[in-house]
Amino acid sequence: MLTIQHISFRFDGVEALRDVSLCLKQGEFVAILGPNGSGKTTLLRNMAGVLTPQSGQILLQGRPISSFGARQRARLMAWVPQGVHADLAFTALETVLMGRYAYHSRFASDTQEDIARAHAALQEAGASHYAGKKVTELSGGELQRVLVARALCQGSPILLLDEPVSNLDIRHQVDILQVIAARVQCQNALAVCVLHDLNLAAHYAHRIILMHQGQIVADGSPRQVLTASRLEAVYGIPLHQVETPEGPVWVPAYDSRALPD
Amino acid sequence: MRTSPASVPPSSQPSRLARRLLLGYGSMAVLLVLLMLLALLLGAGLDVPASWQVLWGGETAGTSRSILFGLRLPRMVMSILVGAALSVSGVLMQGMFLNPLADPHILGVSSGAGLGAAIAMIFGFGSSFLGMAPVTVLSFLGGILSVFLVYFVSRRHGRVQTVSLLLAGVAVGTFLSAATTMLMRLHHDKMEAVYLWTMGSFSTVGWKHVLWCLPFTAAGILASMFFARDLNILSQGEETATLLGVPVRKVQILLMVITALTTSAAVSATGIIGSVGLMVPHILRSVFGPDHRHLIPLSALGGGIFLLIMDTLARTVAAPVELPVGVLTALCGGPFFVYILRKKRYGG
Repeated sequence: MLTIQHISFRFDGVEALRDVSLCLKQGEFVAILGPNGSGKTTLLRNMAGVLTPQSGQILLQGRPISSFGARQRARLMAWVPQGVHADLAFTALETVLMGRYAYHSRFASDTQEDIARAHAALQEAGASHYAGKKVTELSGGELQRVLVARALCQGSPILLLDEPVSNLDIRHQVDILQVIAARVQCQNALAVCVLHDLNLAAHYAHRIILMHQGQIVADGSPRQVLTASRLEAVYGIPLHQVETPEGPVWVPAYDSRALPD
Repeated sequence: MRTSPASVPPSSQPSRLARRLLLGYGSMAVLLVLLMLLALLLGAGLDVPASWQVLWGGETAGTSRSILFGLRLPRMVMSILVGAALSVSGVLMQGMFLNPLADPHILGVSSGAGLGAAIAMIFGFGSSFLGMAPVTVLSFLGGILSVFLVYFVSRRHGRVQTVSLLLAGVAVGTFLSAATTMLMRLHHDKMEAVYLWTMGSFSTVGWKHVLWCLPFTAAGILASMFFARDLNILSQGEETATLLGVPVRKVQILLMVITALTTSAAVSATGIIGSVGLMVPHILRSVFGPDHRHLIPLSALGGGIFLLIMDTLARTVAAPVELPVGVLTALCGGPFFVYILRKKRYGG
């Protein structure tokens, strides 16, 4: 569904991605992991087509992504941006309805069906009780759920999410990832999610792509990718694997980073 | 997933807003009609009872009629048109650049128009175009050219970053203003005329100016309505808007052409009138919310009302001396700006 062929990307001459290739299929929950500056977000923005690689190409349903118009692409691909803040006082419902833009002609207004879909998406994201509230008055966690609801309302088979849980408390992190996992499972969608938390990724993702210095160093199931030696090499800190009732979790070796006296 | 009971019925909020919008449109329309009547009755040369008589057909004397229908009426219509054009342009600029301080002048319209007017006055081009004075034509072209100059200066590798566009606007504006000042310094005799033009005034406005400005303003406001939904979505950031399906660059370029044409047409006929595009949209946004589908028509109404009040004050407050209307709007705009900055958090 989404194929990345040997892409390289440079920001003003600084290499951010080096010869990255990937093939992503429907029904996959893919987590992109890696340290800060490893190229995770750059890869995601290249997948979305808002950045254009200097070499290589990205195919969406077999066609170069640059050949899609914005509207056409939005019907196939929904985006949840990084960081949550709202400038203008639209209501949560109005914000979610923006997800229907790609289906409207310039002159039409929102139909009953659009509004029903928006309410369903708010419900799905657990945000229906503040549908009428202004987004400027919502907490970070509430707003993040509204933005996820908007992506769900867009109805696209691909979801791209850039650190959708990094500003949230642990309960909201679980809630959001649960919603996305449900969408992947029920509608055979493809979700590609940049994450920082190894344990959340290990629990929710079917497939983990580990990045380091602009390259993919491992790609596979959580069990295959997350190994102590590989994580230490990538993150530069030793990690312990600890078995819990919820499966294995990763804990850093805190003492190894003790500050010198 | 935790689900929460729907404690607030989702429909209650929109209907309250709908009532408020209806009240807003209605009261502003009534206010505009009353102010129009007042503007026709007040003024030099013809007192209120005499004006009233002319208006309702009793008085038919030629001079009275020409004061009312040849001077006051076109001036009144023009102030409404220019107010609508400037405040709608302000809404478009603020929406397009996600910047609450943006207004048409930030793209260099006024400094370009000023330079065009100065050139026309100083070098005294005699011929006219479509019945318009050379000052009007050259300032119109100056306004449009400066917007395109700003656009191409800020274009790098086929892309225009919003920040570089705004910075280029400031740079080009400063350069063009300096050029105007230098021309004025070198041609003392025209200094006062150029200076007065830059302060903005409706005192020389007639029907031909209305005919010049009307197509640009009407077409501009109508065309911008087609982009109301795009502007709403642009508030989510350019990248997010692109991925929601908005052709962001195309929309920005079209809106820039619309604002360049409407603002330049308005400024070329009346001189530089500041603050309208900043104040009116801010007030309306705080009362009626950020939805551009309503903000654009409400701003057209509100801008018309505001500038009609300002111009009526400009020609009556210190009569028989007439105050430049641009000075009055700026006098209101400065304190308003401080008020906004202190009351609202940035971007709120």
